[in-house]
Amino acid sequence: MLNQLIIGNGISGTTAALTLRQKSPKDKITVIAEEPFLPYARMTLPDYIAGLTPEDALFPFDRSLFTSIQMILGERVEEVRIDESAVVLSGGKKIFFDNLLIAAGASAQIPDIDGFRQEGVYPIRDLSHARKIRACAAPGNRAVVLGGGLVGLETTGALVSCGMNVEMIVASSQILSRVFDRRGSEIIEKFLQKKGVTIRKRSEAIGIDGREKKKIVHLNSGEELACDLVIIAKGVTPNVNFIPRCRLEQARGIIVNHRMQASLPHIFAAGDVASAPGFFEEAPIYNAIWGEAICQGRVAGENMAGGNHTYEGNLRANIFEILGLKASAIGKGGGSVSEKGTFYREEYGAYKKLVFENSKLVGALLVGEIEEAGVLQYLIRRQIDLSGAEQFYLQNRVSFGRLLPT
Amino acid sequence: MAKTLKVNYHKCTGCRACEMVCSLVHSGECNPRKSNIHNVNIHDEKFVSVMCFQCEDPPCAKTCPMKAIEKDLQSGMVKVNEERCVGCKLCVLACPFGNMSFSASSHHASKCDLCDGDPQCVFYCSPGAISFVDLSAENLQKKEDLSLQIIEAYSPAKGKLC
Repeated sequence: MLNQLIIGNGISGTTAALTLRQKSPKDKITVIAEEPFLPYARMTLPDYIAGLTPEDALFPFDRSLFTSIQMILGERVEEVRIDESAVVLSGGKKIFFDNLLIAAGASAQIPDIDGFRQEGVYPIRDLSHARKIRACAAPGNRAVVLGGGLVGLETTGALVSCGMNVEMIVASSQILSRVFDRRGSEIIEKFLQKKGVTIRKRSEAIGIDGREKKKIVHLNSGEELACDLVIIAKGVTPNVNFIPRCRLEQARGIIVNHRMQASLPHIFAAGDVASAPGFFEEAPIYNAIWGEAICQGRVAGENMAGGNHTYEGNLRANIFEILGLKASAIGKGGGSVSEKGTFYREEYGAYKKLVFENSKLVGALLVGEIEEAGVLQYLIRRQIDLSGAEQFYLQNRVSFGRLLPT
Repeated sequence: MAKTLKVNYHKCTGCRACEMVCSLVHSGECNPRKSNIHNVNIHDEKFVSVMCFQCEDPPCAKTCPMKAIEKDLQSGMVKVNEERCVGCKLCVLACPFGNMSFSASSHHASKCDLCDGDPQCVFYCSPGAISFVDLSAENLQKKEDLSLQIIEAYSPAKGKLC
C-alpha cells in the first residue's frame, strides 16, 4: 500500500487521482490544493464572466466522486523535501509520500511594471479573478485587454458580450501569433473589428495609472487610454517556486519524460506545471492546454499505480469560438513548414489550411468551420501517409469513412 | 438489451436520405450540415454513412470540462447533457472519427442520439444499409472486425488511402 500524494486539484491532478483510485484502490491517495475549491473548468471562466454560466455550474466534479481520496483544500505547499520524501505545508504540517505528482499548475504572468497590481487591473486565470472581473463588467464601460493570445481573445469576447467597449493591446504584428498564421489571424481580426473591438498591434502597455475608478493605460507609442477595467492576459508561468531546482530539472516547467517522471523516478509532474515531450519535438515543450493536461494526468496516474504507460507527446491542439466565429489550430498549422506541403482553401467565409511533411499531415488550421478538427487531429497523431490525396482532403470534408477498405 | 447501429457499406447507394431525415428530425431543416449522420462519397464508387459509435470509453466524455457527456449503461448511448454543455467544442476536437458536430443554433455539441431508441435513418434507408441491432456476440464481432479495419487504416504502416 503506497502513499500517493498529488499537489494540485486542477484537471491533471484530478484525472491522476481518479485514475489512481481506479487502478490502485488500496493505496492512500491525498490531494493538496491551494485554491479552496473543488476542481473547476478554467476555460469556462469567460462564459461565467459573460453571465452565460452560473458559478455553481463551473464545478463538474461532485464531492462524492472523491470518496476514499483525501482532499486538502485551501492549503499551500511551501516546500518539497525530497530526501525526507515529504512536503511541508504553510503552518508546518508535513505529509509523507512514496510517489509524488506535482500538478501545481501555473499562475498568470503579471509584468513587473508600474500599476499592474491594483484594483481594476486583473489577470484572468482563477475563479477569484473572474469574480472580480464579472463585478466590474458593465455595459457601456471600457475595457483594455493586454495580450493577443487565446486567453486575451476569449476574455475580449466575454466582455463584448457584457456590452463593454473593448480595446486589445497586442505586442506582436498579429493576434494569436503563436497559434495562427497571418491569414488566419487576419480573418479573426477583421471579424472582431466588425464586432466593434479595437485592436492595436505592435503595442505594449508601459504603465497604468489609477484615478479614482478610472484607469489610464500608457502605451509605448505615447498614447494614453482611459478605461474602467484592465485585463492582463500575458501568458502564464508554472508554479515551481516551491520545487528545489537543483534536484528536479526545469526548463520553463518541470521537465518530464514520456512516463511523466521528473528527474527522479518516484516524482511525477503533469499539466500546466510541466514541460513534457512534444509530439514532433523530442525535447520538452511548454504548452498549457486542457486536453493535454488530462492525458498527462492519466499517464502519470497509471504509472504511479505501477503501470507502464507512455505519453504520446504534446501536439498543441486548440479549438475555440469568439462571438460566434469558430476556429481550430492543430500541430504545425500556424507556421509554414514548406510552401510545397502547404495547401490553402478559402471559401464562403471558411478558411482551411493543411500542412504536410512527406505526405503526412503535420498541421491544420480551420477558421469558420471546425467539425473536421477531430479527424485531422488523429490523422496527425497517427501520421498516416496521404500521398496523392492532399488536394482531395483539402477540397472535401475529411471523414474517417474514407479509411474504410474499398 | 442495448442496441447499436450497424452499417453495411456494401449496400449504401449514397442517396443521402439518412442525412435528410436526421437533420429534419433534429433541426427542423433538411440540411446535411445539420445532420448527425454523414454520408461519405468515395470517388463516386463506394458510399458509407458514419455516425457516433457510442464508444465504450468515449474520448469526448473524457475531455469534456463540464462532464456533460455520459454513457448510459442501459441503452449504451453516449449522451450530451445540453444543460451542462457550454459549447467549448473540446469534444469535437477529441472525437477521432469526426462524429461530434456542433449546433450553431443551440450552441451545444450535437451527436447521434439514436433518436431515443427509434433511429429514423434506419427507417428511411431504402437499400437497408443501416440496421439497429442487438449487441449480440455475433453483431459485436462484426463491429469488432470493422473496427480492426479502421485501426489498421489509421496505423502509420498503412499505405495509400483513397
